Amino acid sequence: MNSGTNFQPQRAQSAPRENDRTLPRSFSVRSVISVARPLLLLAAFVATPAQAQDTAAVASTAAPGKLAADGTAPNTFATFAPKIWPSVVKVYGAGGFTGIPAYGTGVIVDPSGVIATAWSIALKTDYLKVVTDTGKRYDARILRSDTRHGLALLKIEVGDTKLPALELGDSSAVKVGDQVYGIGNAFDDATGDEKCAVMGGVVMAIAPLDIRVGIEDGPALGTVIMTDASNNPGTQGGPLVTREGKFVGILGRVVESKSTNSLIDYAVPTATLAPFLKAALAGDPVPTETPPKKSTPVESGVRLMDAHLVRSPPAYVDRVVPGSPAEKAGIKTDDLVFRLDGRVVRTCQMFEDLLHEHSPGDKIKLVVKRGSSLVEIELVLAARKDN
Amino acid sequence: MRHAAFLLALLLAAPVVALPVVAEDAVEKRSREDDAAVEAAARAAADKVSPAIVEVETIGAMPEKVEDPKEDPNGPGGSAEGVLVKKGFKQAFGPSTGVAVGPELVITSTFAVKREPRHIFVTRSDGKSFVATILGKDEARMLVLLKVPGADLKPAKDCKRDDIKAGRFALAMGKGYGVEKPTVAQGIVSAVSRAQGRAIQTCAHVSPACYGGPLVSIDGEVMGVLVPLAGMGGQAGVELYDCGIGFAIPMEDVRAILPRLEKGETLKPGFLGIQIDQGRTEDGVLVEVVQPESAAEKAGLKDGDLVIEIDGKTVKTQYDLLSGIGRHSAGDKITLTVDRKGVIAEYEGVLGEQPANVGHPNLKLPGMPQPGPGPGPNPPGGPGGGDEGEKH
Repeated sequence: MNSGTNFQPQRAQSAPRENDRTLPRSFSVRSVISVARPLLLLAAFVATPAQAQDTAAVASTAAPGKLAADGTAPNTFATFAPKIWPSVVKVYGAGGFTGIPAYGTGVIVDPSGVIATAWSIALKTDYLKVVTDTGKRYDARILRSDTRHGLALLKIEVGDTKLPALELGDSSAVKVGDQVYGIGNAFDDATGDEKCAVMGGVVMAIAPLDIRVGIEDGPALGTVIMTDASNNPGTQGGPLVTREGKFVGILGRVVESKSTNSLIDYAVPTATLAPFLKAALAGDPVPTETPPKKSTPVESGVRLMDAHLVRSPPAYVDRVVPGSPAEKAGIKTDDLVFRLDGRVVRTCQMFEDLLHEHSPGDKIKLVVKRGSSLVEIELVLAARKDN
Repeated sequence: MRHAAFLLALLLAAPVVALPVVAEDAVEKRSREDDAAVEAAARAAADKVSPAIVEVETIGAMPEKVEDPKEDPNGPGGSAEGVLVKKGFKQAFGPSTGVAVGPELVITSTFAVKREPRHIFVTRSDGKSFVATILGKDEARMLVLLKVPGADLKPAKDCKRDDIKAGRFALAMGKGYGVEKPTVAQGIVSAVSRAQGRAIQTCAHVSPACYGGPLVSIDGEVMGVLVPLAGMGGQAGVELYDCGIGFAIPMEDVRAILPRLEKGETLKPGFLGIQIDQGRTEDGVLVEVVQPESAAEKAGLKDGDLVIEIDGKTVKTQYDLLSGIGRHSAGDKITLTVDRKGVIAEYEGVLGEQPANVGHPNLKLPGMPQPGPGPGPNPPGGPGGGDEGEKH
């Protein structure tokens, strides 16, 4: 359905199902296969809204969110769907960016009409629209964006109406292996008041994510929740919900992991969203990027192999400065630096960069490869003398 | 039981309204109990295997070349967000995964070392690292055996091949994000025999983050080692990652090749060297032509022979023969039972290596015909082994 490859001229995106994604081979396979899933799920849920409501009514006698009479927490999606869906909105931005869907998903996080979504260049348009769960359509504007973490807050004017906002859950309680649901308008297959598709999966990993956009390195996203529930074009900005119905993350846009060179399904945790939302609601000034602290240059006494000879050379010790911390600690020529304070040092540049984070007097822990064994070495950094 | 009483009351008072509610509630209860049970079982299984999963770090690898932008429909410099289309180099710097198969032995996928790193390090689940070296490789299975002196690893329990069945629960685990605990993706076994019988197929998301890692059963046993295979005919690599089609080499087969890998061998796909009549689909494989100098000729096979067994297993179709050979490597001894004009005899042979000009790794059979009914054309082999060859 999105396999076309024509470049679309830029235009305001209000009609759904634009050709908005051109996918290289590696992605098209999974897109084609995974699109079937949300469609099926959608069909299942569209068919049963009345039943879901009934269930909610019954469950409410045992107080939603609390333990049911039999001692188990209500935890299947259908149980809490009536609580989640009204807060999930469809977001329509600018089309024309190849590979970037013009449509997305959002979560109402404040009754006054504040919507959290994933940052996308497609949001930067005067024709930004939000369609709520009831099918009502609003003009929207960007309230605040955090491109570094891939988050954006949108505002719609709702007057005195109170929108059903979703409470931010505690994302720090999420563990690897937890069952989760991602809810989003995958491939824009839900229109009007149709419910966004629900995708099931488990938490695969909770880890810092270094991303790449094209061949350019993207900003480090910080710690994210990676799942095996497929994020598809359009799901970005939707909620990640636990099996207890807790909203714990905003589904991320399509990015590639620098660690694996592969596209990843992830969510930005509510722990990242919460302070951002709080600041925006309080009207706090947008924090400016704090310039990196100018630290006193440090001297380890390690001289690495000439970085100009080969591309990204490993951190081989070429020379040890006599009388330096490195010599005192016993570092030898031809040692290969493997880890610095636990982090793998892949290149000379990485070694220098990691050293820059330190000040004179800091103790660092190195693991070096010497011959066929690993040697742990601690050394105290000195101040670099200008020569 | 207050709940039940309440439902009973509802039933008595207004049966017409209450009935669907009762049914729905039972489903809800059942599914949330099942969900909780599955989650708990998955966690227990993952915990059981985790100590056997290691991180494979490499330093000094060649950079990975990026595809030519001319091939990209977006044109030079393309713009698919997050997807690489520009010309240049990119380097996945994350660690790969390995599974302990002995106190000092780790099996991983060729993905971990495909860029020929100068240095390999293995990090145990407790965070301690060791220097590793490559012992042997299996090119057909995309496996690499690493020797990790002094590592004192604790292998997990292997799952018996007979216990691996389509539909059974499966976890794909890995260390590709370098986090303390392995990543876990959940799915089921999709098929037990793929890629000429070499691999199990799973729908658990398998990506570079878990290549070399284990496919784990509900009992916390290792069913197989995840590899970047692409199934029949496709290019091996990461094209299929995360799409619900992942492959793992069954542990039983890994164990079978370990002695040869330990000796430092590079295993290649085995090659028999017969051209077969693909029209026959029921009662054996009819040998049309035995290639000169091939393993088949050395074993004593003749044109017109009907292969009815390989290693004691019945051969009814060419696929039985293919997977029978696929489970072996070049240099392995095989036994073929052959019906030659009514005389049934066993022939022993040693599989050879695939000649450069043959398309299919096992037989003189260019390209893999689609499994399906009816006789198809019998394409002869030729340089490059085209898939669409026609019988002359």
